[in-house]
Amino acid sequence: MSGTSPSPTARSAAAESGGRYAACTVHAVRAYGRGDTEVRALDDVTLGFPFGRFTAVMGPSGSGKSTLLHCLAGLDTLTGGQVLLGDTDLGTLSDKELTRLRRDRIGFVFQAFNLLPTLTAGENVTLPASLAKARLDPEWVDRVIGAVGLANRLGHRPSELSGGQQQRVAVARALATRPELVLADEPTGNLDSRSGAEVLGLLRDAVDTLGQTVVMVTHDPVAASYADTVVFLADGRTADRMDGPTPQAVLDRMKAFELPGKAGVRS
Amino acid sequence: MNIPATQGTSAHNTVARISLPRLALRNLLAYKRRIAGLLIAVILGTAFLSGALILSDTVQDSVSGLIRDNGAGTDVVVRNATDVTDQPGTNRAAIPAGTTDLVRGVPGVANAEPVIIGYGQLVDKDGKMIAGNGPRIASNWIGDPALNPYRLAEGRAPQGPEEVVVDRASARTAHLKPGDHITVLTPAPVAATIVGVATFGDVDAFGGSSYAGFSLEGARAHVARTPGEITSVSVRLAGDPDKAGQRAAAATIQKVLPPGTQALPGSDATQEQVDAVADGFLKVFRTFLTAFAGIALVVAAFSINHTFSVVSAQRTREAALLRALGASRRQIRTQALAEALIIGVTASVLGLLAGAGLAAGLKALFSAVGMELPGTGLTLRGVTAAIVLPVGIVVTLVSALIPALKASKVPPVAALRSSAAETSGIPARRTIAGVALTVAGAVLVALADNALVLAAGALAALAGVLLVAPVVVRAVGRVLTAPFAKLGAGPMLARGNVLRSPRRTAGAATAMVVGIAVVTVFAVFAASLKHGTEHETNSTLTDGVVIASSTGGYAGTGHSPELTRKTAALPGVAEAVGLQRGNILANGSSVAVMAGDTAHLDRALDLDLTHGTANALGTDKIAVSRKAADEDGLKVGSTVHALYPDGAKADLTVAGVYERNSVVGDYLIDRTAWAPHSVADLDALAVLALAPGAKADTVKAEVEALATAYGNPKVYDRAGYVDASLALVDMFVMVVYVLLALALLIALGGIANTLSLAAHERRREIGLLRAIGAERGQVRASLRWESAYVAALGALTGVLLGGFLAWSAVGVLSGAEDIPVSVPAGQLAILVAAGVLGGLLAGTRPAARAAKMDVLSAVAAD
Repeated sequence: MSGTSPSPTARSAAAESGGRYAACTVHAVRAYGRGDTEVRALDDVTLGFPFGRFTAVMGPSGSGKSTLLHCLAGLDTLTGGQVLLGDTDLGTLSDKELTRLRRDRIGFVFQAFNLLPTLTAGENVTLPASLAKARLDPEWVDRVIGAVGLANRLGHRPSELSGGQQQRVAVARALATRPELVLADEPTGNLDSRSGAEVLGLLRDAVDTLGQTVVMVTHDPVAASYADTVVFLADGRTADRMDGPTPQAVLDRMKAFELPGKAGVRS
Repeated sequence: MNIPATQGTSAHNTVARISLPRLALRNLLAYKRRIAGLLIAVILGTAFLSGALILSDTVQDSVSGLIRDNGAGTDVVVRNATDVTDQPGTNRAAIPAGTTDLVRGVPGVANAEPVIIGYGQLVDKDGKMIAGNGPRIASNWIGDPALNPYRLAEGRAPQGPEEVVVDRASARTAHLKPGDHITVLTPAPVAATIVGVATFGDVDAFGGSSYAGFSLEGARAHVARTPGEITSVSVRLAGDPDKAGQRAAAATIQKVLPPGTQALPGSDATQEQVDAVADGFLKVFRTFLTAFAGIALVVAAFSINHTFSVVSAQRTREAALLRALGASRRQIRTQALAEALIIGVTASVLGLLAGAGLAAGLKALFSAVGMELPGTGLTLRGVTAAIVLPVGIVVTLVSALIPALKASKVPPVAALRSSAAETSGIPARRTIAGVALTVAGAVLVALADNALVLAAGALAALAGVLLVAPVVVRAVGRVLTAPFAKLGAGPMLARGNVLRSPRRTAGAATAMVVGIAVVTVFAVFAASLKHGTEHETNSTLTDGVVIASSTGGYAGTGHSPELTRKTAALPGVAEAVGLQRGNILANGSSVAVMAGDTAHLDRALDLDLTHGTANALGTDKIAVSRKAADEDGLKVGSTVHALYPDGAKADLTVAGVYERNSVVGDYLIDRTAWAPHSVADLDALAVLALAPGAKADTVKAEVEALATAYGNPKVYDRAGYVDASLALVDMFVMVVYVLLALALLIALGGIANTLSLAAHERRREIGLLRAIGAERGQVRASLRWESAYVAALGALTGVLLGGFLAWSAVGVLSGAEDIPVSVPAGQLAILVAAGVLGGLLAGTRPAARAAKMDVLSAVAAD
């Protein structure tokens, strides 16, 4: 939220990041339950997501990657530590401010059920702007729509589009407001490999040609290989990171998690 | 959805098995909100029916009870044999006073008392009439307590001719006590002293009537038209004879009676009155209430039906899962019907009980608008339960049947698909049937010439419109709602949800359509009637002054003809026409007549004569309205065989036929023809024509000054009289609106209910919206707009349909009178606005609940 002054800690954390990060987590903890039954989905996670980069987050089920994404989006709140978007500390925001932050500064792509069935593709793309009662930059929107290849599908309803087309509409919607951060939660999880490749190519393009910052959670080593950096989570902690990933390297790294005793605790 | 195993694992005794009835029960409990909605819909419908029946039973019981008390000790009644009307509150013509002595001479008669009943308006110390809503009775106080239903509560019986006993209700209203001086208009003013206050049995008064009891001598002098005549003779027989004894005694007495007089067993006389009340006022009252109960039930049925169908859509996957697990279609159907049965029985019982509360409320309502109903306590008859319970249960079951059949047709594979529960398909044969029904209904309505064809046409048109509605919603809904989409995200989202399933949208609006259509028919009908009467009364009265004691409420009142005569002498009055009400038999059927000063009638009243004249009717002529002429086949020169209340017969020649009957009614005769035969010499109203140059205000003031001596009957100028004469219509309109408002509440409850269900179904969509930045307020707005869209759709359709039906209904039901259709545009606009506003309000709670939904869990929900 641009109008909110960051807290002193947030300021120092942002300074620490040297302004290179679109978003970062600082000693982030997300615990569920209390006492003996307490489960830490995120356990002291400190991560930075640099501007103009495509970061993939990987890890076995229950490693905390979805929780991380939800906390970055302001959909879930930390029980300890901080999440910063730019220099805004999400923990200091009210529900209403978080809503506006999601609307104005974040783009979200879900695994499934991304679009409102009652609106056309075009209406879905402009929905966040409609909600904000804000004007979109028409040039930007044209560029985004051109990039996702939907110019002649704008009047169609989601039910008239294929799964891949629907997901491309979702990507266009996430990009339309020119957000600081695009978050994607297993965007190819429901798609065949060809449609998946199209969507991933789009996200890659968004970073390379539109200068967007993208964070994507995925299970798929091939999907992860589209990213600049892969961050591995296990048991709520950062386990490893890999720059310039290839599918094979990611797959090998992932196999290491499947050794006995390393299995996830939460689903 | 956690589905307990219905088969398979039963090998282990530790695993609890669940039976289908228990599954039905568990389903009901699992969806508390939906159940509450269904229950409320059924309860409202049945409560209204139950309330209507309880209320009319209560009123009938108390009225009959009062009449029975009145005649309890009278074994035989001797009265005039001529019967010209069955209306309660009217008296037969007089019989010779000597009849009493003849009866007293009959063996077995223990006592016979002459009864003189007439008109007696009480006027308090300040000269104001003591208003009541029933007959103003003056009579002779009867000393024999067996023959007198009144009991002294205070003071003593009257002795001198100027002493009276009054009823306790009047005494309380006007703060009267023994020793006070009052005036009784009989209709000539009688200055009297109150010596006692009496109750009617245990109650303060007989319904809304007032009572003034003179001594026999006083009643002869003031109440009887001639001192030698009495109204009837009340007879007490020796011993306490049963009905057969009464009948035998009546036959014996009959033998000594002069011709034209009859002796009637007391129990028969009482029954005659009870029947008259039951057939007259109570029948109208009961029909009226039952009709509205029917409307409420129909609206509730649509609402219940739609809710069940929504619920069934919501559970499509659950049903499919059960089918996949091996449940048969029959079991799915049975489960749905079992749910309906539980709801139907529970809600109908609650509705029956709620009806008692509603009856008490309605009674208070009627009394608040000036229609006091007699009696205390409530009568709940077994027959009420026997009507309400089956009706409520059957309506619920039938409403549940179609959705249940649909649910049973769900293919098991549907469980494996995560298809949207809402389908947008509209079968073509539904549309075709709808169009055919609509056209057939419209043609029938447009060509209808009687109520039966009209009703059939209206039903067909309504059913057709409801069938076609989804297609219309799909075809024109998009265009009509397009401008709203530009208003913001809320309206835009709402529009999408309204259009996504035209069938559901139409279904949700159905109850509203029916409710608003009925209100519209009534509103247009009432406005046309009112407007027609207003216009006619205005045209009938050439700018003059009118004296009228009572324009609304009980009509059997008036002022002394002496007042009319005196006003005629005023310099500002050119012509004074006094008009008396009466009943005669015309060619064998009972009709209401007006008897007036017709010598120069046209100077005061413009009746718009189509043939002949209504002037100078004398003793052998009659003028009739065109309506009466059409119905009875009369024309100028025809003969009407008249039988007057006193038994006298006369042949009257039709001298004229007139159009305007709002002031003088359908049969008009001259005062001189009526006077020898009338029951009471009382002018119901007097119409005064102004002399050239005279001002209405001045004349009105002069007439008011004269009227002070006659109990201050109300004096109006033309506009004032027109307004006052419509007061009764206004009162009825108001009562009807309140009743119909209940039907609208049911419709709104249905909208709220289905909206709440829809919001539940769209949890994921709402979660998605919130995730991409919709504020809670925007989620709320979208649901409220949706509710308002549905309500507006229903309201507008209802107004159009109702307007069309009313247009035809006014023509058909007004018969020969040709009332022009008058559309109360303002009222209808308010009606639609109220519907839309109600829709907004109905959406408030479901919207608030949806907005509170947790985003993460909504996104994660499947």
